[in-house]
Amino acid sequence: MTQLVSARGLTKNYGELKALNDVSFNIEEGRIVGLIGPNGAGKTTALKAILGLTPFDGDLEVMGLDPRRQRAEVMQHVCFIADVAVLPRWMKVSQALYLVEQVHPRFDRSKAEEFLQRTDVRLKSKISSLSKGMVTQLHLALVMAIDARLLVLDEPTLGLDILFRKEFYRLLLNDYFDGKRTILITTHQVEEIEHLLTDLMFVNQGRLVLNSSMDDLAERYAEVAVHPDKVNELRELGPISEQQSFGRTIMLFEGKPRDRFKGYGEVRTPNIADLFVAKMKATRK
Amino acid sequence: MKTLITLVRREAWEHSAIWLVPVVMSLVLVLVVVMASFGLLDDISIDVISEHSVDAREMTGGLAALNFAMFGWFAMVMSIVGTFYLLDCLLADRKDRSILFWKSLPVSDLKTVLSKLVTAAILIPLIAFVASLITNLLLLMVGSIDLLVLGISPWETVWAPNPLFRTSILVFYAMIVQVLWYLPLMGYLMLVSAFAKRAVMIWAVIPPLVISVLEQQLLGTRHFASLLADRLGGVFPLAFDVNVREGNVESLGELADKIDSPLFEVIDIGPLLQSAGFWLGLLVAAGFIAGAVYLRRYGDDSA
Repeated sequence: MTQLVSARGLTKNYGELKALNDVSFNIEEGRIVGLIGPNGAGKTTALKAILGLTPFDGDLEVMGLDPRRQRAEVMQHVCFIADVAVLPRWMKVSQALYLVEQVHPRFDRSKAEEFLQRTDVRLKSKISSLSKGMVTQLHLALVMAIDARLLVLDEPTLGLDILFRKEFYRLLLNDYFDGKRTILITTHQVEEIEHLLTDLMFVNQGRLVLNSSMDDLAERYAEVAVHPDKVNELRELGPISEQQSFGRTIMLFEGKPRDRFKGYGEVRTPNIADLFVAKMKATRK
Repeated sequence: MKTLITLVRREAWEHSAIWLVPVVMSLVLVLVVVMASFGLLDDISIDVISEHSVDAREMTGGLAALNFAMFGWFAMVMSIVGTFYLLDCLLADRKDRSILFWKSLPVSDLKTVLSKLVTAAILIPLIAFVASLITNLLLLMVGSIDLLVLGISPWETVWAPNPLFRTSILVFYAMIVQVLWYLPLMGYLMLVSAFAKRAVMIWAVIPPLVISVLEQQLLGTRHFASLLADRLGGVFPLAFDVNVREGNVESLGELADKIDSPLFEVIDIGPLLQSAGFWLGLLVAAGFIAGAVYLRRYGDDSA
């Protein structure tokens, strides 16, 4: 597998604040990576470093290029949607298509137009007259028509209603992702992207607190709905979190083989949201 | 190159004032003259005109003065448009938060800033030039119709003696040297535009003001203020022949003679090329523009 992004000791300080503190990770081609963390954890800073939008310390290679010095070259192969609704409002849809077509060597205008035909976005419309959801569709149309190797999405569905959010991810998975492309995504709405991720990274307070493929996650983490009479016994195994739910005690374990829980209760893989909460609490201590 | 042209086009889309203003100005001028000529045609009689017949030299001089004035008006208005454009050009994307969209395109920040410089230093002056030329021609046509109504040959009165071609060359030359002379001012405005988050006008005015006041208070001199005044005053004293630049043209007839004399007798770029101020200005402009590129590249960190 090709390494698309490789970070070693990535560090970024804003004055006293360590937005990124010695973070190292790799992103391989063909993966869909979720970068999850609370506000101010360093997610956006990490994305900005990858996109060459901010200076930083440490080593970072994006497709073998240094984003600090070769930002324009990096952007030939990387697409980026920040908060999607922010396309220039004075622009017409046709002007946006023209512009990207002229400056982006890997843009296929017919693909974008074909995609837009399935929406209510008209070429003559001014972007300021489109709804937030329609602007998202336009941005997605622009991005999906670019043959990029890495797509970076920073809170792409922020402020959209549930219909647009579902549609956004459906299109991303069905029409865009082909197994060779790579997607790096940050969001607060973890539940919505859980099923499409292949890899997961948690950041908190500038540090990487979890970096795992979804497959490994199922092996490494187990959630046990413990039988009431076995709670104390299992507690000795050292769960990373414990909570009550419908009168049952739910314990989350890290790095324990699943057969250790035989007879204690039902075992399943925790969902990302629960794991996230547990991990955040654990690292805050 | 293709990218740069596209980016300049984008500037004209976004900042539509740079072509709307001259179009409106031209239409208004033509309209005013058309309205005026209705009034004139009622009042004026052929006798008045024949009584006041001017000789051909004076006619040529008068038309030349009119050509210069026409461009002067457009140049003045477009300098104001250009100033506002420059102050806005590197701020607008940050203000409307579309900056990340622009940064997501494979375009270097150097190219982006250059496209804005090209817009201000080439496109806007060219628009001023073309607009004044077209307006001039339109007004000549309106005048021709008036003259025809009065039974006077427009060809002999306003077309044949009109030194439009020669005045256009002079105007074009003046425009180029003036733009080069103003480049450090343009670069400064771009730097301010790349730096300020709001109140860009205040940011633009305060540094030169503070420097001037400080210099006067601390050193008792006014070098910076006079340097600035020199720069704002324009380049013409350095770029034209001594007689032209000292205003030794006393009548329209003399002006006509000047216009008809070989161009190199009117144009004298020597003093400009020999002035340290000109070259230092270009150097300062390069510094300001490099600063603007740097701020565009690394500046807006928190957005």
